[in-house]
Amino acid sequence: MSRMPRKKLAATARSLSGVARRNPGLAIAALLPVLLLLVFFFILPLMQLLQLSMLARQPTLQQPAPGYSIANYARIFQDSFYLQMTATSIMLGVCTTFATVVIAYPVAYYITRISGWERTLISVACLLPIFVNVIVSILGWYILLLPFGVIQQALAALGMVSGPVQLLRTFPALVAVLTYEHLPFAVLILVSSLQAIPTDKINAARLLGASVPRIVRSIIIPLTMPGLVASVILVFSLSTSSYLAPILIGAQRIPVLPLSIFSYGTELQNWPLAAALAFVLLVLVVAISYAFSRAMNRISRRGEWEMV
Amino acid sequence: MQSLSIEPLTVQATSEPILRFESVSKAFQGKIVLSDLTLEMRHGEFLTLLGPSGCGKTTSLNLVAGLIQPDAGTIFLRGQPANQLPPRRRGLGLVFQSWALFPHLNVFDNIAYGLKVRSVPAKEIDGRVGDMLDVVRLPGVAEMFPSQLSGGMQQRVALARALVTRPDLLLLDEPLSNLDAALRKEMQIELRRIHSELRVSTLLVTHSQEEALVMSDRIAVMRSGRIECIGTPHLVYNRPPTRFVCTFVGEANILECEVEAVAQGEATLRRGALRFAIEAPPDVCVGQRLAAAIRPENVVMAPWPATTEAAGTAAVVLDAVFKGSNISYWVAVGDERLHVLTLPPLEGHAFAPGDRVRVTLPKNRIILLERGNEPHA
Repeated sequence: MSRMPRKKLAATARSLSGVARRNPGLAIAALLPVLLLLVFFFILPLMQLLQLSMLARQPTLQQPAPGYSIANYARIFQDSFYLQMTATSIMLGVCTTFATVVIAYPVAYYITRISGWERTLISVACLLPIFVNVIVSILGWYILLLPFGVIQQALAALGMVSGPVQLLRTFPALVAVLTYEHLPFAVLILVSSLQAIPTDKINAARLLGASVPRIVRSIIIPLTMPGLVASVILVFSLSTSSYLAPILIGAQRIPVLPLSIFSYGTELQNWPLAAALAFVLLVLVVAISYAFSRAMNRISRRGEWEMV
Repeated sequence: MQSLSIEPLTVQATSEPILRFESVSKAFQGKIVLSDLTLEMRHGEFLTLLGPSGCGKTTSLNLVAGLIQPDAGTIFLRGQPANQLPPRRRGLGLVFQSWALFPHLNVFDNIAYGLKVRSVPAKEIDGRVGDMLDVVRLPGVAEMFPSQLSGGMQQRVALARALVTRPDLLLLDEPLSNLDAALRKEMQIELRRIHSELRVSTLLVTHSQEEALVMSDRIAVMRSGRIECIGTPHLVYNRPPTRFVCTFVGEANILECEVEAVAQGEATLRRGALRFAIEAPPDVCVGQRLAAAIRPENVVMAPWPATTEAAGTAAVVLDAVFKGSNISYWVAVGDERLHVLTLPPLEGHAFAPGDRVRVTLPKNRIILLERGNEPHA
């Protein structure tokens, strides 16, 4: 980004914030649509969910208002089945996020270093999965992973395996599918983040004698930390709460919280327990994301310095 | 002058230049940026590549740094061919136009970067970074981040970072162009001082003739991928060989003249009503056309007709601009207009528009320009 537009942008932001300070009514009016949207479609439903999770049992026609208790939460935290399920969910999110970032970062870096048709080709290839329906793409993976499916046939043709291979309904397969699904988002975020590093800074490090791994570690990663944190949080929250990939690829072999929430909510008609499970998942995802972002900001001393 | 704990680099007693371009060419997407460039830089020298944008000066610098590769020719560093040498193994210091400081590292870590890469012990790093902060006169900012510093201070940090590894060749890529005028003047003197204190060979790239004249031991004036003239600031300013060098480095009145007479080693040139003598160049003949130039400050201007001495040509002042330390005049000699720069007079009045004056072009101040290789504009 060149110097002038950024300065202009900053000046515009400053003058806007000046207007807001002089005229608080205007600032509230400008924020009102978003506030209303958030209150009616996020906060209120969330409160209702919380209330639902505190009900002692499912409301029925005969007993529309059962009393409140924390029995649902007690059940979740005392039963090793649910604890195991929670751990699997978090583990799935962590593994998917790790795999996504490890793949997306070099791809994003490569995209910023090329231009012309090559860049267009790789960018389009990266973004194409977004335009394919999620179910269609997951079923595509299903065909690849089936016993005697494409992957097994390929491995057999290379003489690496003989006999059936269990791929479907395994944890690594689920991680692979979720990684595939979320890769484009991570690449998009990281490209814009990497693009913002001036080439001069990398060249300066090269001339000071730094090797490529050292430049990546000491210059590129710290300068892209905001983008890295954003993509980690996005991929982690999306993959931990994903339902479609677990139901189609993992099914009951890999029990995760979203599957359980769905089955309590619809099949078993136990809304309070489903709501409690949903709340546990939400709090965990938010807490882990927040802790991660705090830790990374501390490491990169974000807020103390500005880009020059 | 303060004493320095950083030892100056020992200048090697070899006659091998620290840097040599041998017939180096470079093109970008079919457009030739450097053509057949040959250049030598001596140990300890302050050499400036001066030229307008697009003349190839920054390309030359990037070639020395190894950030780009030449299409043809060889670059020798310390006598060794260096075309294949990656930037990190060249042992150079480079100050970028943007300074390229690492924004997420504080001043200490910025300067220490090159030392940490070289696994210098922490204790020694402390000492050397501290010494370097003294050299660039920036005490007490080690813990600050670049964004908390002024432009001039950031510039000094960039310089300290480039010098702390004790390179024997320092490259400066328009390092002063992002500073305001006053700071730029100060940093010119600073760079000159640091160069003489550390005796590090310095290659400066700039489009500012003032920077080049103030700081350099030698100036190479570049145009369209070639070196048009190379020499000391005195030589480049006082004896520029071509019209381009003459007008790019300083101002000049360019006079297309005809030789009117040749006698006793002296030739008389005529341009309209203006007549002046020059030392006759070899094989000059009457009727030949010559391009001559004279700097505005070398034109002598006197009141008319205060003395009866015949020297000088009658002229009329068209415009006078008072610039404080000097006065800039435009005078008309017949149809010819001359730019004249004088000091304000010690007594009496400066000339005013409409005043009749006489102008003299001193013989030893006339610059004869080469003809032939000027573009037909």
